[in-house]
Amino acid sequence: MSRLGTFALVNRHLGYGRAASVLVAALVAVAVLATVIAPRALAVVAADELHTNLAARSPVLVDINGSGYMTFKPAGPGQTVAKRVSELDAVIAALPNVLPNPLATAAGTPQWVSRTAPLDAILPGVPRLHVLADLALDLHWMDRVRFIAGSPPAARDATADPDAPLEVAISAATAQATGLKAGDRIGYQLVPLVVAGIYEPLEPNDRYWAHQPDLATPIVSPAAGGFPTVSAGFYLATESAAAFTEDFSAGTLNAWIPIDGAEIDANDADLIATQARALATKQMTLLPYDGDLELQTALADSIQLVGARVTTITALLALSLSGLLGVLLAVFALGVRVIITRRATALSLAAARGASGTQLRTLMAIQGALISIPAGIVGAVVALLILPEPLVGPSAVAAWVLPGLIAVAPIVLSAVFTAPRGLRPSRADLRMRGRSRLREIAELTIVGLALLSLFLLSRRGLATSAASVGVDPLLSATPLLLALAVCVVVLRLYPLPLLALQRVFRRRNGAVGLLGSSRAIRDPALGFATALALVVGVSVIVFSIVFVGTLRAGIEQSAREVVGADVRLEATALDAATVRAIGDVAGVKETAALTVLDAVDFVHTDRPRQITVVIADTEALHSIRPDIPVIDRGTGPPPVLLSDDWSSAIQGPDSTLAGSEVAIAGALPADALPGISNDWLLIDAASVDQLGISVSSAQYLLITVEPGADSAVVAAGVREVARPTAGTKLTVESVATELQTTRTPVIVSLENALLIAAAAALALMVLTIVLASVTVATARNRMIGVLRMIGMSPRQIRGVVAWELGPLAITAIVVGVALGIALSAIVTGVVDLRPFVGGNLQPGIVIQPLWILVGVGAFAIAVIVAAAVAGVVGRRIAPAGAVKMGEG
Amino acid sequence: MSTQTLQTQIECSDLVRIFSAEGVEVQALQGLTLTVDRGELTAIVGASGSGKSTLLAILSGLDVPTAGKARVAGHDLLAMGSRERTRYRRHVAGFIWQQTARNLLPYFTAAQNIATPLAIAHSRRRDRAARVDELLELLDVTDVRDRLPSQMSGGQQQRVAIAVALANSPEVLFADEPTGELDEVNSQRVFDALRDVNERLGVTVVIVTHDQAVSKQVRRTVQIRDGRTSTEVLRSTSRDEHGVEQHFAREYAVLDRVGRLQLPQDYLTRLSMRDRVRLELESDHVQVHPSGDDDSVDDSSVDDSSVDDNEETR
Repeated sequence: MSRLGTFALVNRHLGYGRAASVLVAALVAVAVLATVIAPRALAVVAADELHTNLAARSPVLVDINGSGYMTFKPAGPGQTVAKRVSELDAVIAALPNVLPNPLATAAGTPQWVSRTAPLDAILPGVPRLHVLADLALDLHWMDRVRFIAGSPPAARDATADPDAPLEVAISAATAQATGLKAGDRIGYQLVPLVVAGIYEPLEPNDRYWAHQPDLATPIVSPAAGGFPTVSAGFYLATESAAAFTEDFSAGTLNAWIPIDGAEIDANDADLIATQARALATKQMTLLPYDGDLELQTALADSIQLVGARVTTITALLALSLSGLLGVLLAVFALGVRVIITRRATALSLAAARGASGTQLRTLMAIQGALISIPAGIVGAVVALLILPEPLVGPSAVAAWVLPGLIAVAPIVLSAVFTAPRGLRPSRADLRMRGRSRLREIAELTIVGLALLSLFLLSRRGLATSAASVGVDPLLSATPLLLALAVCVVVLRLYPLPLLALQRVFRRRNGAVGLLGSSRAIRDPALGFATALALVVGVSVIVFSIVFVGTLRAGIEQSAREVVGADVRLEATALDAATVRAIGDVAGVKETAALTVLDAVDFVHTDRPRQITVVIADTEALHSIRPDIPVIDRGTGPPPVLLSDDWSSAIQGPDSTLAGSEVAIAGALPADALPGISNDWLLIDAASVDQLGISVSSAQYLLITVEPGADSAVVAAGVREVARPTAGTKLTVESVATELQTTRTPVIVSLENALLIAAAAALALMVLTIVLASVTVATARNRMIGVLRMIGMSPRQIRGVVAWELGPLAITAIVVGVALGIALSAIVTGVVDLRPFVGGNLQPGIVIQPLWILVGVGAFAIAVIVAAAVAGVVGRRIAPAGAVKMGEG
Repeated sequence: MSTQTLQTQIECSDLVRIFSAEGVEVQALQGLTLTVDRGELTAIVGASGSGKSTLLAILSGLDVPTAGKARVAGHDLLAMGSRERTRYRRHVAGFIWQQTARNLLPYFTAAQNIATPLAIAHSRRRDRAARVDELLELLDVTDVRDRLPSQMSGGQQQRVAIAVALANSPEVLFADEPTGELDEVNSQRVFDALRDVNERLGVTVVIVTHDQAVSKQVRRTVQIRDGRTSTEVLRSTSRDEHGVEQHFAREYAVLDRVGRLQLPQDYLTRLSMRDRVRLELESDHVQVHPSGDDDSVDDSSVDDSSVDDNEETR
């Protein structure tokens, strides 16, 4: 029995011809999945970036640091030092309690070390060394070290003979730098010292040693013409402090609350940054017995740096992916068009029977909803199963807007395209034809919006606007709007070259060219949606390729900037033999040694100051660093170059360096010599003896590697050679290792996202071509039938069919490549990429023709594959039958 | 006006329809004039491209004329808004296409196909089954009620299609070559069904057809040529004194409101009439003479008010 209710009828109608809808449904599901996952993946990446970044930063820049001074509880009967500081210990231990949540949740157990002021220490038998030492009081230091010589220092009775030596413990590195051994005596201003034991840290990576570095490794600074200075701290037994309470009170108290970056929820990061910043404005923490402790932290800056990167990547991703949305929309349009075409008979019949436009549109909207809503829900559920990362704040709601729009798009498109007048069989595609006033208005609107967004983007910048309003839809849509505007222009101009071609073919004998070009002009098989999809698709691919290349080049450039060369070696002292030996390491091309002397007297017009002098063979330096000029020795006073952070203070002649006259030859950027602090002066090694400065060793070595050599491998080789003689400090940095640290999670995910976008664009373009070809299959087969009947060979027919797609594909390649490069140039020009790539220079656009060729080749293959698929699909409609089909 | 609409169901005058595409203009109708009275059964014939399908599309509310006047059952087809047009399609005009497959949705049964226009017109659901069965019975296709179109013969499909077209009780039924795809027997059955509907329900029926078998059975046949109604054939049946049934068919040229008429093409050739003719008014008729510039043509006259039985000369 036939069911005759409206619902039953609609249901039966919608159930017909499901196959065509499956594609659109699948697309909706995948697109919703992608857009639901994207913000969650971004949140994961942001958290990852935050944790990676906080872990990589020095604990000093993350923890809450307190500095001040301590006082002891007045001595009394039975009052040990431990008891006299127990109240202080308790107050410091309670510091996290005053922290607000969520900052408090990331806080660990506070630690403190009290140190006397550094004083000269005289090492008998070591005259060529200047040692600055202080005494360190820490209740728990013994838990962190292991003795490798001697024994822990014994407590000194407060009533002991003032001349009796105080037992201290020194670090192994200090012992190495000073040559001290257990049992050695040290002359010291407060009290004679004796090295009771030598220790090394149990855990060298313990945050403790980052806060108190010279208790593990002394700081060795070379001095001009003098002896290097070694600064170190010596531990003493807790009870020994009783005799030096005044000295500790006059020294410094360092206390810090460790902040575990991994415990910071990325969603709370902004709040924590605000709380951390508020700490600095708080009053000092009053310690018992008039001690004081001021808390400070650089945590906010550390978090903010990550936040800026995440904001920029979000905006960049939106910018990069909006083009993809355009392609997706075009595919939806074509897919919906196919569905409507399949229903055209039923719809026109219903219209003839008196169904109103609203009824038909509602019917197709229901159909669209039946396709896209379940698909969208499936996509969203799968996305949440894959990545159940919760979003918080306003972004949690905003994140559903795009998936929602995607799910709604087929419904709206279904309703819009179901124009009762559009159901005429003559309308085979979406082309905007005719002298429609609407078309002109739409086109002008698109061009106007594109120009507006471009203007705003250049005025406001992407990140600034994104920071205040999240992802700015207008600015993010700039690539899409530009692409649309370009498509509008292209479709207006598209017939011109074709007309020229047609004129050429008219003069020739062949039928294929004339027929193909004429058909492309008068009855283009593929319309606006296809053109848009192909142009935008190619531009997305090219943009991804160019932008990834630009990012990579920028990162490498900044890594080179940070390292200063391919490999940079920094050591306490490098003698000439070691430098020569390093020059012989496999893969090393050139080396330039820098000797750095701190605190050299420089007098300009009677005003003395202390500066850092860098001595180098500037010829060797120039061949490694072309940006640093060769200092021409010439005659007269030795010429020098100044860093530009202080060079402005030096006007005219009358400058002396270490008592000898020098000539100011120019200035260099302060960061030109990496690793060297501000206010420096560069002088050629050949001029140094004239100044009476003797250079025996170098501190820095800049190295270039042979082409093709891996800088990381070379760095390892260099380290091996330098290790025996370099002294206590030896760091080797290479571009390769620097690149490793710059490629943080956001960079990696940005690159991945861009490549995924390129692949998605390719896939969507294949779909576009297949769908567009299927839409016109009937008309094409009718034409093929006619052509066959008038005697065209299959080869000629293939030629005519190739004209459907050929001109459009070529246009898409030309315009798409140009658009992709232009977009990359706009983004590189407008968006500040320095938070990403590091370094001080905005990277310039890098176009790698080979990779663009690969992208274009992939597109060409996609077009051929799609055309073949479309051919197979189209062949299901036999040309003979197609010819027989009447107009109706 | 009221008497006019009571009598005259379809009234077209000087109807023009121009299709323009890609700079090419095709004048499908060039000032067509046609009047059909209520309850009439009219056939429209003409060569392909003469504009008869365009006329039917306009009359059934599927297309809009470019200029002229067209009224069907009081509805001005040029001035109709989309709302009125929808109402017109639902309740005034019924439509049957040539292709049997186009009239019915392939995934609906006969009953469901008939119920579709009822649903479109928001008819009450409980009344639908009764109406569907009534129509099935009227067109003698009750046995295919729950069959899909693919399970019916071509004739059954067309009769179901007529039922679909009648579902909302239209005042006029338009059929575009309803028998074009059918064999002789089925053609006759479909035509009988249409005539039956016309006679029993009083529905005005307009059939566009190529089928002489059909046009010969219709009282009034209008021929369209070059986008204009050129001639009309009126048939009548009477019994002579011997009781033998006599069929009369007379072909008339159509005179429009301002007095224009089309002379048959072969008359023009035979008399070499071109550019100009000379008219002479007689007491009871008008004579048309070749211009007279050419003396070789003799003074033969054409009486245009009544052209002798000359139907289907083409």
